[in-house]
Amino acid sequence: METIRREKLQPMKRILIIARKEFSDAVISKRLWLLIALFLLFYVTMTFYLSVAYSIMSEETRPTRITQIFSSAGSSVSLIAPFLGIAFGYDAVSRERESGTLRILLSRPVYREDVVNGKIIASLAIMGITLFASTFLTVPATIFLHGITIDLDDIARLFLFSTFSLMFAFAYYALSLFLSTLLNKSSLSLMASIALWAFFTIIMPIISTMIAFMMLGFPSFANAEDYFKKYSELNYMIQIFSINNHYNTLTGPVLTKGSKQDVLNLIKVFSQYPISIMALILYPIIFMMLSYIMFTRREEK
Amino acid sequence: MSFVIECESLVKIFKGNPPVIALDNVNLKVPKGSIYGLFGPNGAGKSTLISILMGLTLPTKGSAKVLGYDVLRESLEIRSRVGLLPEGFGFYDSMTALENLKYFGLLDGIPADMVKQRAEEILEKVGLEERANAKVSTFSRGMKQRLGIAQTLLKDPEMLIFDEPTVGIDPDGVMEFRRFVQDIVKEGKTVFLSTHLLRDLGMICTHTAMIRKGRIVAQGSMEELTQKMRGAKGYSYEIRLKKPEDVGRLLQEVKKLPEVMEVRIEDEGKVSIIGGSDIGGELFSLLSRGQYSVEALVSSKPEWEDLYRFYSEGVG
Ligand SMILES: Nc1ncnc2c1ncn2[C@@H]1O[C@H](COP(=O)(O)OP(=O)(O)O)[C@@H](O)[C@H]1O
Ligand SMILES: [Mg+2]
Repeated sequence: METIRREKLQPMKRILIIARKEFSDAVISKRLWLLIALFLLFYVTMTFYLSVAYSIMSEETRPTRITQIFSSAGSSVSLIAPFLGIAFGYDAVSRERESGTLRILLSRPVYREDVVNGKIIASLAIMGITLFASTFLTVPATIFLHGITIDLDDIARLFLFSTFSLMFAFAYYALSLFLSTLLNKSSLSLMASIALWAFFTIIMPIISTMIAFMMLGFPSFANAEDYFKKYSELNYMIQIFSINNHYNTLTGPVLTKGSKQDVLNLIKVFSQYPISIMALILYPIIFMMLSYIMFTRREEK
Repeated sequence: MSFVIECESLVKIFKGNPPVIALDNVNLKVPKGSIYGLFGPNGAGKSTLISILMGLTLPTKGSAKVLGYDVLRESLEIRSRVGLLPEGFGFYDSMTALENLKYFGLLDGIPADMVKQRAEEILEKVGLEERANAKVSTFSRGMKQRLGIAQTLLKDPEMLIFDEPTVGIDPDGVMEFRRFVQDIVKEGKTVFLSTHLLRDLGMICTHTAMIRKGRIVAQGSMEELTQKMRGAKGYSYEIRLKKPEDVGRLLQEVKKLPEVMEVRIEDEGKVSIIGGSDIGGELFSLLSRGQYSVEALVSSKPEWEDLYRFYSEGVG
């Protein structure tokens, strides 16, 4: 056999080879299409529900803006975002460890960081495409079904909403990636990821509400406005470690348009909730770092 | 002689309660072009040593060089020149054999426009060309093993490391593997393999290190180790006569030879002798002088198992 030509790969090249493979794996994976099907089901149900609801509303109270519809629908996008993250994170490392492919992968001239980075890039791409497509492909349908018009401001708001949703999905991705490197077993890491999702999404808000009520007592009509301000501040503080809290805090105003003159002001959004912005950025970074540490320290047999 | 693996005082301790001393002061030299067998029971530290050599696990103490590259600082260089068949490996089941090899080939640094051809070439070499486009999930254990070997060859390695390559392989597969190893060293490559199945692979090894509880108890070429054991246990011979009635006479004459340590009648017409040195020549002339009708004179060479038993005695 003749000797073959080989080149020394630059780090970026190595990462891209891994990312490309992970990306095509994801595109043909059942889990992605299952989530997309779930999203469509949710969207169709919501659309049907809203058209029934709007048909009994008076002309003046009926929503006229797409952002209103997005937020009142509880948004299918924000529901699938965490699952998208968990779906691609929970077994990212543990599955390769279980199947023995990691051993073959790591016997090549690559570093462990390259493997993690390749997976992260591929997952970011797939989550980004899915979330932006979910938002923007449903726009024409929403316009048509509810008979509304949209302008540039609406598009900007939907764009920012999708970006926050991607960061939200990425936070859950990083969290379950970390669990995947930590727990070794895919089944365990899936259970742990879902448990954390349920905690932040369902349990935490209930606990937080209870605590806030206990601390503030019941509101009276006289100080209602003051009361609800305090109430929401308290809620925010109690849920300071919940990524859902920060996501909801940021997407709320983005999808809320007070008047027709009220255009999206990025500086206002960012300066009003600096902690939430930081949290949405730091959350994935922290769990990514923890994943690196776990994965590179781990003694592969 | 040049060495492709050199370990110096390698120690590996796995933290825990209690900590495990997987490698205990391992010194090892593997000559280029050899078929080097690392023999030892389960849990002896074979996989740990291999993992350190590939730069996948860090040693607690000591240093090691593979092909002249330091395992700590130059692991990428090592992994681009050494093909590894790990223990308990697996492939991407939902991908075909060819797709698996193409992916690993790209990571080995084979240019994208050549990788398909290279993968096909290797699949042919291991006899899997007809299954190239079948998903790995449809492969038998033996076919996966061949694919495992195929992935080590993609990068055209200078050295191959096989960790327990015959575990779970049928006798035909083992024979095939032995032939493959013998062919590959003819291309000037070195093969380093670990096994606890001496019967499978001992016979093809030119050199060995025996490891027990993380310690190397003996190492060297087959000849060196045989020599050393003979020094301690003597040289053994076996004579079979066609006429059993001559055995008594032979016994008397052999006993008179210098350097004979032990003579025993095994059964009808069969005598076994242990000499303090090589007395093959003396035995031969004795037999021809004495007009014996000889069926066989055998200088019994120790088997790997004898060597292994001898060197691991009293250890652990
Ligand atoms: N990652 C690890 N963590 C803790 N102990 C380990 C690890 N890997 C191996 N060991 C221990 O080190 C010893 C040697 O293991 P190994 O190198 O796998 O042996 P072999 O390959 O010869 O069967 C065993 O006692 C094993 O339990
Ligand atoms: Mg082993």
